[in-house]
Amino acid sequence: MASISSRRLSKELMEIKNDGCPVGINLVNADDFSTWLFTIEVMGDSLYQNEQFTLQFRFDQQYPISSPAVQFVVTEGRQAPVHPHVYSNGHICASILGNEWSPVLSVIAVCVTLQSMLASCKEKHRPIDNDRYVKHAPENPKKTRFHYDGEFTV
Amino acid sequence: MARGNQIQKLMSDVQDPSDFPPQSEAPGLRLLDSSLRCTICSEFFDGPVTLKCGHCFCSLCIRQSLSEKQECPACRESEVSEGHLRRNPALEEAVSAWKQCRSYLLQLLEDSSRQDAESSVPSKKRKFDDESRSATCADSSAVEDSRNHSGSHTNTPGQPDDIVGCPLCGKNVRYQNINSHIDKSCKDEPTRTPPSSKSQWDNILGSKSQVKSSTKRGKERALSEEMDSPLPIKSYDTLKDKTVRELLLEHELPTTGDRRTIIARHQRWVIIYNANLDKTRKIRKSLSFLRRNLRDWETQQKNKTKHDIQNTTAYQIQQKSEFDMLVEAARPKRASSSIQTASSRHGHAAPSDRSSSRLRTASSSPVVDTIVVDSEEEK
Repeated sequence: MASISSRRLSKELMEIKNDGCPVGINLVNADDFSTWLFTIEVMGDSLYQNEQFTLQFRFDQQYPISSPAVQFVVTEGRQAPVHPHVYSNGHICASILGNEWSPVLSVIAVCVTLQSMLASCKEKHRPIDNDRYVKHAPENPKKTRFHYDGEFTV
Repeated sequence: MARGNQIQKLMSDVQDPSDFPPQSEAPGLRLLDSSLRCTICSEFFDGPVTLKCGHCFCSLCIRQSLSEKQECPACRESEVSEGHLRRNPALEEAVSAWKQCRSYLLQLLEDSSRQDAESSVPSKKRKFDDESRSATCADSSAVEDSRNHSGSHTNTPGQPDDIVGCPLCGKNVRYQNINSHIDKSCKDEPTRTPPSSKSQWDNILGSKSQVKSSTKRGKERALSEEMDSPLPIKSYDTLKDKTVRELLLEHELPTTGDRRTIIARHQRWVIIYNANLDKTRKIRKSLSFLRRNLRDWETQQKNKTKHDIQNTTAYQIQQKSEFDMLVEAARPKRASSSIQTASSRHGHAAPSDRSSSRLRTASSSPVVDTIVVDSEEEK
């Protein structure tokens, strides 16, 4: 009997394979039920035109009760977008990835939210505490206790 | 590679709404299939319960979710709790009926599309349709019977001697007996023959056998009532270890492990026990099944909880390079600690307490009794 998390993920994967991803989002790699990779682009008029980023999802056995660990990939020449809520190590400060996570959200829902977070960006800069955070950040962004300042809510 | 195969196997095994043709070809079927699924686990509702906002989930799913956060996962309605959960038997029936006819319906769709492709002779097709209709009738009547014959169905078999399948237990029952069969929660004794005159007399006079059976029934009732009331959610902070162990013993659960383990065990037990009560009596699992379920859950948990390092000196030698690195990283921070604390107040994000405390441990006191290492997410 497969675990609830892998059954749920296999259904999400099935849906992605059947219906495809939303515009600008592409599945790169989903070989198992622990790590998935997506590429994400912002369509239309935005500060991130012609930029492509890679998103990494990591799931634990408690998914979807517990949130996936989501971050931008910053290795192998890939960069995290310059954004007031994205740290240079790829960690993202978004409430739905932390205390606003809900088990009815899905991988695609998270992708779309982050896409719109980038699309609505007005000024490209790193978070003010970027250097300090990156220096001491835990490897897994879920271990960070972010303080959400309400600028960006879903 | 093996992993890839595993995922392929699971994928082919998974049933989801896309098994049905898209909306344009078979209107409503996909929607129906997905609307009978829980939005948390994407499976068909298992013991569906409704919150006060009206959103519906599997009992186990929503209880797990509420234990993390007391809000509706769908609409974020706050101030919801386990006490607000109400069973949804109508939905449960609909799900069980849909599960019954799903594979049959898929078969029909497949057959009809194949026949369309072959452009078969019309007469042959009609024959197939007739067959399918009679089969559907049997299915649907069985399902509808469970609703206490609320309406008159053209499809119901009229003859009292017709054998129909019980919609709850699947047993074949005479049509005339189906109602009483369901009323007794499918527990009717196999007395197909009318009771003999002797037993009828015994009923009146109250013979030994009657007394015996009545006590037995009383015992059964007590047992089932025991399974009927949900367990209260405890506030473990106010309970001593001993009390928690007693709570576990009450349900014949193991009492091994430290405080955290036994509390987690009891919490999980309350969740699966209460979720089980939200199912129709007929499909409820036995207590021993639930205990096995709990044990499986615990072995799964064990792989990702903290483990204590027993031999601390060996561990320190082994991890020396990492400790040195951490000490190095901590040094400049200490020099400007006053500035750091000030900035962290305005800061956007602060590294979690744990990581900073670990840093402190490494830098200030290299000799510690036990070192706790996170192998996975702490939960």
